Amino acid sequence: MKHQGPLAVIGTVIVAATSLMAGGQQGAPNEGRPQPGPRLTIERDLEYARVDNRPLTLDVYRPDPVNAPTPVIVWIHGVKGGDSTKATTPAVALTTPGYAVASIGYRSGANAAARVADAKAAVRWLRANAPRFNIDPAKVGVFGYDSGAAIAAILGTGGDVQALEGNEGTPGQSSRVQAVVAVAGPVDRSDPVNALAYVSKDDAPTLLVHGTADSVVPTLQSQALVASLKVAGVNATLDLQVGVPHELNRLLSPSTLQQVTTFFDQTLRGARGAGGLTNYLATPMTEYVDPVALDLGGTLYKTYPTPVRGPGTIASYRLYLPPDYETSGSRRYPVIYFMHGASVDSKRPIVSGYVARIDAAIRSGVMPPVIVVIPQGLNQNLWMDSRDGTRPMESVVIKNLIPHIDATYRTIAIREGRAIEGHSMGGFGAVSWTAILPSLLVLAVAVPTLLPVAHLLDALALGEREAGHVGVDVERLKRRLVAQVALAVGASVAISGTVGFVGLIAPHIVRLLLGPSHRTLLPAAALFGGTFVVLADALARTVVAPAELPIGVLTALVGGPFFLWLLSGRPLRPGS
Amino acid sequence: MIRAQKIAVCAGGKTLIEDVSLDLAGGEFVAVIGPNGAGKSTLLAALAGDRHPARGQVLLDGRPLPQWSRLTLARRRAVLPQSSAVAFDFTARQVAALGLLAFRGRLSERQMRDLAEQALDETEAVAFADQPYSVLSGGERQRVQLARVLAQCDAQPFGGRFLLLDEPIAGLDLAHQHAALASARRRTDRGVGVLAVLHDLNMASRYADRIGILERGELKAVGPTSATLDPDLLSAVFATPIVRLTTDGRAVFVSPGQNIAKESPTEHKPAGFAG
Repeated sequence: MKHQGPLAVIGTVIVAATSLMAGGQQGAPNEGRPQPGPRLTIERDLEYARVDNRPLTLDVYRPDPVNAPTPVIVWIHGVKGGDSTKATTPAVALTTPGYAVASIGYRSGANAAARVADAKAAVRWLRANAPRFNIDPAKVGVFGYDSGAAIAAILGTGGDVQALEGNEGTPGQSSRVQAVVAVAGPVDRSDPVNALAYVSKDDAPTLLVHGTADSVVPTLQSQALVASLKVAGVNATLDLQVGVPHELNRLLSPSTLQQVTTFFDQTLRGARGAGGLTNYLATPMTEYVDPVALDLGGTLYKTYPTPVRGPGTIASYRLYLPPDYETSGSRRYPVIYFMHGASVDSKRPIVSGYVARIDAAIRSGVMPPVIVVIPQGLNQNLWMDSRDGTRPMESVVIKNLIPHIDATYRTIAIREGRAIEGHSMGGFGAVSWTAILPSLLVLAVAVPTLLPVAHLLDALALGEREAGHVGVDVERLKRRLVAQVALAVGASVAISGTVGFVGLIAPHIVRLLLGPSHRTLLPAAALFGGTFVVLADALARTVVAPAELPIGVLTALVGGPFFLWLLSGRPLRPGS
Repeated sequence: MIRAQKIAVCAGGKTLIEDVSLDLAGGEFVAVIGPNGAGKSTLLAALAGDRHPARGQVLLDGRPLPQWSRLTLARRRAVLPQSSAVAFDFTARQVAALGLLAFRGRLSERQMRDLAEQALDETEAVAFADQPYSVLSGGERQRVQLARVLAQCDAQPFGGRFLLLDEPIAGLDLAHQHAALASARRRTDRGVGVLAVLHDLNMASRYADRIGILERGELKAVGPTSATLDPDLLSAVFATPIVRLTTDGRAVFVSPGQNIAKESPTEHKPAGFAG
């Protein structure tokens, strides 16, 4: 979906934004970043117990503010390699759907009994301090990785086992948990303290996640645990991830995190079916106002009046403010208007990680601080005014939203201070060797290996059957081409995002100039396309300098008319 | 030898040809004739390996066609299709050269260029060889396609080779019709087996060693040309009177049409014909 109406020429100074869309290497902001995101409170190193005169501490991550006590999830880190502190936690991702997270430190060098005792002490301490954190003491989940997962599983099965409670920390509270997610956790039967030893039918619902390529903890151990839990009648699931090794980042992919959120929604909130943002996305699309009036994923839910549509009407948007907005005094910020795509709404850029990447990039200094505005757009005509005037979406944005934003926030309220952004708006602002090299390797394989089949492509001009007669295995050739072209296109899009019309016009122009023989056509089209894009990029960066036009606007300006001419004036297949 | 063994070809629930057995040996010219829809092109497609028989099988040198690779098949037989569209602006010379695709790496660029050039010369297509195929007339395109097929056939200098030609003279003027079939005929002397679908009985009679007559998907007759081209059989198959005359010792077939067929006692006058 292109969003390249007149809105697109508002202009921009924020080149980096485009690149973040395409690059996507940065994850959600987490402990590595210096500050909490907006609407997120972090309290660190809170002492929950003291052992041998040394404190055991935890960090509490809370969505803020919240109206009612939230469930709390206890994150128990692993001991493998660099993952061995409470700082490595998926806490931020869980605060987005509204969970408090306590990432606990524990005596990771001690034996299983001591580790379990520490975790139980943490759960008891959280329950004792529930009002302070506005958490619901009846809804405690545990979530662990590696040896942390082993502890989590034991908390799930050994809920009322007095021998496991230990002597440290706060007494007088239950350490029973209501949900368990254990990722790649070992079940060591040689140690009497293992999850299997305490399985009973009243154990907490359990979700196990394990990679089949795990060379550290055998998959069999999770399989044994899930089998034992199921036999006992416990709600237990094992998610085997094909080909994934014993690595937290790979195991907790966005889709797995979504699955974990859904599991906690079901077990701690009684949600039916899918939960979290996925659930919100399933809400029916409405016009102008998103019915999910919640501050989600580091954004604020806001509305603005839309007099263009008539008195008393409003529309909604989501607002991201940079981390230093509250403390920077009179500093003014540029604004990125992110226009969501068709069949989704203003929650999509949060789900897809766009806001998280912008936030991470600002915090790490990759891009200057910006305000991001994500208006709620219409599904039918998206960002254009409908012809009959009943759906003046573009006018609403231009005449109502932008003045509202400039009047309400400290924006750089000039043309050059505004950028428009949307999916499928590719560009080269983020291109660096780090980003290019991996794709270049793929291209280096996919493109030169196309040349030997050039004469086979020529034969296809005769028709598939006739190509077969002269010796081409057409089906095999098609499979090979689909694979190679997919690789090459994927590698290119990974660098720049999608830039329209280039792939459409380059081969046709070269064919008109040099003839249809693929031996010249293939390399010439690659050179011509590359040259065309470089020239278009140079133009895009200079015509409205210091702002930059989206390159897709330029390529479409050239490509659209050319394509129409090709379709109307000149038959693509003369003689047929 | 290409051998069809009791083959049946079906498409869309309809049986196109049924129980057809036919051998094509090296060095012979077989013409397949029959009315529209009799299954001539279907038979040719089955022999070329384009259509897989529902029953029976087609063998090349005793091995079923599906066991041959596309590449090896292309070196053994060339196929001239009825349709003649070519995408994009390839020149006639480039189209002819595409027939040599299966011989890349075996022949030098120069050998391939010479083969294509000779074939274009043989079909008198050199004059327009550098023009885009798309601007050529129907007859000129047919000659370019024929050149492509002849070049493909000539590139393999030995071993059993075959030409499968679907209406090779459609759209050609009389001189080029003779030239085209003479080109095929000449190659039988070098061991090439030719099978051509033809509509012109005189051309079939003039160039073919054997004739196969198809009617409604069945092979009505197959045999030596002079014996098989029987006027009574032809009249029945084509549902119009066909007479055989003899001139200069050669058989000539004439189809006088219904209205002047008074002398034939088997014909009845159409209703309303006043005489």
